[in-house]
Amino acid sequence: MTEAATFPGTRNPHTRLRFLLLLALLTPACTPSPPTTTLRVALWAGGHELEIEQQVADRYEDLHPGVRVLLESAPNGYEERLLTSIAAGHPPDVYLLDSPDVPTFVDRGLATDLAPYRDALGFAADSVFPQVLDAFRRGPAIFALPKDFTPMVIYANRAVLAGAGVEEPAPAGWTWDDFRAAAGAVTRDTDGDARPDVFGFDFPRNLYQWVPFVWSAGGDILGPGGDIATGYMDGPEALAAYAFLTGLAVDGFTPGAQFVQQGDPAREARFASGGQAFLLSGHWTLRVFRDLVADGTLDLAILPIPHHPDLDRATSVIYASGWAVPPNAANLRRAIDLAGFLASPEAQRIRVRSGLAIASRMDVAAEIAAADPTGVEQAFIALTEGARMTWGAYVRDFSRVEALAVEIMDRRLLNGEALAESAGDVARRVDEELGR
Amino acid sequence: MRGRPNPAALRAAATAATGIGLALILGVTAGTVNRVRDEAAGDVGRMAAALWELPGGGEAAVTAFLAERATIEAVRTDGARTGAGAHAYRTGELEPAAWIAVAPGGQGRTWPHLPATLALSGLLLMTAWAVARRRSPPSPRFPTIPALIASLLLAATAVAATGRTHRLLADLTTERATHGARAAEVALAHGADHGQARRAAGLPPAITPAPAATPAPSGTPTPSATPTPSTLTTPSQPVTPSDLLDALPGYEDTRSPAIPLTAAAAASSLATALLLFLLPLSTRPRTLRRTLTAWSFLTPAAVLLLLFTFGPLLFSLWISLHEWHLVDRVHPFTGLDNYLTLTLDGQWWSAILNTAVFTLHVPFAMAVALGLALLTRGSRRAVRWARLALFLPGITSVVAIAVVWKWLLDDGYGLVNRALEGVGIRSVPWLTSPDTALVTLMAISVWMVVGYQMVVFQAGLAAIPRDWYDAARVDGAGPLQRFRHITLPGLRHTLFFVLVTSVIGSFQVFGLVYVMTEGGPLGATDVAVYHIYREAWEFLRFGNAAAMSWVLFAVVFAATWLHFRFLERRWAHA
Amino acid sequence: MRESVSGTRGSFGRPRALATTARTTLLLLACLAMAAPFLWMAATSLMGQLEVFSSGGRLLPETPLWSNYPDALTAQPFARYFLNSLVFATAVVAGQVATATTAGYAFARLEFPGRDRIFMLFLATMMVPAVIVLIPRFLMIDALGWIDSYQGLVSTELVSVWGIFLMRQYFRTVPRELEDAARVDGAGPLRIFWSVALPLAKPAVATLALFAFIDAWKNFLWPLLVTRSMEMRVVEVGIAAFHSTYEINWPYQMAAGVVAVLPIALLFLFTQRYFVRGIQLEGIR
Repeated sequence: MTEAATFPGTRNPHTRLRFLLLLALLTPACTPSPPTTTLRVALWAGGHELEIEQQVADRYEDLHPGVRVLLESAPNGYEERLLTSIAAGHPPDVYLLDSPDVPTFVDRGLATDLAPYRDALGFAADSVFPQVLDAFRRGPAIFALPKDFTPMVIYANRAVLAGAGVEEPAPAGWTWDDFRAAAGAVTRDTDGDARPDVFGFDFPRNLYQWVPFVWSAGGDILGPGGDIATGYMDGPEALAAYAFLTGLAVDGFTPGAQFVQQGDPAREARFASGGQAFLLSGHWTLRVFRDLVADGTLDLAILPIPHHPDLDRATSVIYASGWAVPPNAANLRRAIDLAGFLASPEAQRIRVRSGLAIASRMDVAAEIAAADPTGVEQAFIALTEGARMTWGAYVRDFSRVEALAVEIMDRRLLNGEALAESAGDVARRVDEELGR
Repeated sequence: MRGRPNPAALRAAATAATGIGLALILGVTAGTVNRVRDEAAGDVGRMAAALWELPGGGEAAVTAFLAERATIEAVRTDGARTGAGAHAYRTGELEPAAWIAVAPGGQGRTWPHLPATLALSGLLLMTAWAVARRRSPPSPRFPTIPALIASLLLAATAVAATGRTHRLLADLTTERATHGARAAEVALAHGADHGQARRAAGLPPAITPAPAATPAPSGTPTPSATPTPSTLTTPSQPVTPSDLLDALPGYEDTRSPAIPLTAAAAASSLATALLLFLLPLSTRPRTLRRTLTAWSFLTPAAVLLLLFTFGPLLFSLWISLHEWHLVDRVHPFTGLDNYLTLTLDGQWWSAILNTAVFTLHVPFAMAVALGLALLTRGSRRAVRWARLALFLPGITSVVAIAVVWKWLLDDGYGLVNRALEGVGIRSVPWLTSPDTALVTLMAISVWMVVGYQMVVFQAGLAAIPRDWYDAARVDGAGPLQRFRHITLPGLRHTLFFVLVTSVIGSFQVFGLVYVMTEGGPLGATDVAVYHIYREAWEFLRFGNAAAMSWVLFAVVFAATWLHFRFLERRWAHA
Repeated sequence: MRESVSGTRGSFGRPRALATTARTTLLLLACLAMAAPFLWMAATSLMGQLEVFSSGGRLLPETPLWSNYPDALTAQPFARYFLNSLVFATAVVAGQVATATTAGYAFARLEFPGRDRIFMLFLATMMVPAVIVLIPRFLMIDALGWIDSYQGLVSTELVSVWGIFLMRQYFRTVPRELEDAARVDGAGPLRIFWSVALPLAKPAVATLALFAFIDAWKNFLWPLLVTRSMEMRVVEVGIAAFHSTYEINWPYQMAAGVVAVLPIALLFLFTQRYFVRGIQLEGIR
């Protein structure tokens, strides 16, 4: 900081600035070039998670002398950076592929088929959760080796439920009616200012959050081929789900809706501090709560998504990521080997320490669950059964569908429009988008 | 008399500029062809390597495929290798076992007749002109004919060179297709299955979309069924050259030299024209010297702008004429389609309208900023710190600003609404209603930019000589009169600057919308640049985004031109 | 020492004092309103991760967690990031000051054919959204092999049309008499620019330097794209990294944000005296 203050006020700033400029231009020329093979890995890990990935990379370097693994992490702006580096013809050797991006990369031939190297890598397809692997598969080809995944679940704050005299819901047969009753019962004012400060839920505004509710009503947003929305996104089951969710908001069981993708920045804190009974999220949020759970401040239960009263079970959604290798990687064989290692049981065992998601290998996930005394990990694995992969893993440019779909409930809440009308209109526009 | 300008030297320089451009075009052409020949040899080498790697393959398969065009070499420890080709690996091994060098195909290094003839004749014409005119005094008019000839020849050479390169590259594409079919044949003959044969041909995995589904009869679809909208298929017919031509983009598509050739032609036309432009000035040495002096001042900025701004801008114009996905290797040319779609896109025009409305905050911000600048004149310590405080919104992280404002303006617990309710006014959905969100953002924007405008005003105030104030005070002018007759006129250039840059800046508003509202609710704060950003980076339609940028540019340019037309003149003569 | 321009030191009796009090109050209120988010940022930087938004958000931390600062700044190699940002911003300031003062002077004071049209052409480049030149610029830098280097970071940012415009307007404001006097004495254009015009333009140069520094310091998308390794990462990208796909570590992000503001604040305090000091014509003569 002191350097920052030296230049502008000095008597003759120009010569000094030019000198600094010269210095800036010369500096990189002095850095020595690495004497070994360098493999670049693109990922979006940040903080603690990146430290853990560095441990995995270090382990690979130990096993393969002469190879240097360079982690190029961009927790923010990952896609921008990856796409530009691919466009310029200098892709990383291995990159992390998010399930909703699979078609963008795979359909454009930006991922190598790793199936022929299965044996060489010791990758056993049947050891991985089938829905997770399926996202990265096209027929016999495997375009990324699964890293980890999470289903969307409902976190319940037991203290809040008990405070309102609501019994903890049983995971089996938990319906929308039960959910609504519980949300209504906990919503109340505690400080006497005539406005509620404990809520049942927060409004799941984005498609990635509400899609399991449509599924859990027996409907879907797209037809089985993933190429039509009319008749699905505006079908009776989907409308029932929209009506249920907007009903929670209209009746005041949720705080005011936030009409942004990021959602309500206060939701986790509100849930943890006893201001909200149910929280819809993935495994990643567990890490934020971990310390509170450990010291007993927060008592939470992991519950399934509630389902339509006419059905007997819910269907949740899964989001996953995997390691992919671009076909024009500078060092294809080494890159494939590294991708194999990053997805290997050994790497997954190191990685689960970050607590971000569930290991994609069933044996590793079971190991972790067995070692977890709270039973939370086990609950997550149980909720994975019957859950299905996001549509984004199969439908090209799904982000366009997502951007349109948020309008359905926004229009109901902001303009009071009928859901059938807005859903019909959005479905028609999604069809145009899918028609291409 | 210093720096006596020499018309002959100028003519020679103009000729040289044309010559350099022509040489550049020919050089780029030759370079591209040679590079792609190597690349094509590498592609064929990869086919050979795939054959070598087959269990029943090895050297015999490679020889059957390429005969003496390929040589199989051991991998050297120092990494050196001969020519183009590909590494071959043994199953399960990470280090290559052999280097298969392939002689480049195509027509070899032939003389590029048409482009070279054009280039030479152009150069001759220019030289003849320069020599013939050596003794004659320059006319006071711009030499249109030589300028026209030079740029036409440059353009014609570039077009001819592009055409020729495309033909050569198309030949290489055809050759690759033939080789691919042959490689697949050889692979099958050496015991490979159809999947391996397709890989040996260099074909990517074939992903076919699922057949179109009919709308569901709104019964109960099976929600837990895994959808498979696209599958990978391995056809069991032999591979034909047309399979490769269909599946892989040709070298003429992926390695087209059109852009560098256009750039070379445009740049040297520009350079020639600039030099010729100086020629008539040499009859007026004073003007010429002034012009040269001015350009010596302008050159650093002009060169950097040309390279890193005008170049990219022209490139984005080019993008706007295509269906351009960032990572696709081929970008289909669509002419003005993107612009036509845009004119019918209601959401885009509503974004433009929102942007225009947003811009109305500028005068308010300027008034506040000028007030603050006047309030914080002087250099006492307290004032210095006050200025820093006023400047803080401009340097605090936008993310933090967004969170604070969202928190203050929340419908439920927000302090602003609580305060309003405290005095008996109904709470306002500041950011969560389509009617108010844009106005709220405008207010926040005023708050954000006043610090920056204040600083610029302060610099402007500093330029007003103090004597003027002292003189006015002696004449008995009050503070208001001093403001009216000294401060405002003295600030007119600064006011104009702040107005124009702020209007341009607010037409480009992005960060605030991105972190606060994401264009919502229901598109109420969807402004032009945010719209463009999403189109490019979220929906990956760069062609559309580029077209939108140019439309926005036209709108802003019109607005700025109006400012200059009506305000600068008036203010300059105030 | 001359009397300050504001004239508050004059003794005009009670109404004057009242006005001063009103002025001070107004200024205090304005300062508080403007500094509020920064104060919130500072308060938040001392909270626990889940404390930030608990029960609708709180103003002050229950117990200030000073450890957030060392923790946040060691969670990533911020020392290196600060160095990179400093090199980047300093080079940008140098480049922009050099290009903008010369070009601005030419547009304001020198006469040559097509001047105003060329200026309009320059100005036009400000009107195209920056997102759209990002890709072509990236491809150029990549073609030059400058990805992940200081050259790559800096080279596209060395000229600012905003700065050229600022300098042009400022040079037009400055009275011409001094330059004319120097010309009569036989000074060439370069000499007039360097020893007469430029010293007079100190306020504008300081403003330009300040804004160029801030722009470079806060630039996010360009450094994100052209740098890859941790060794080349800049502060702003590092701060954004606390905001991942899965969670936002507000206290760390705010702690790093507070530290990142300090260089700019210092620079501001330091450059102030240039852009508030007026021109004293007779002093130079």
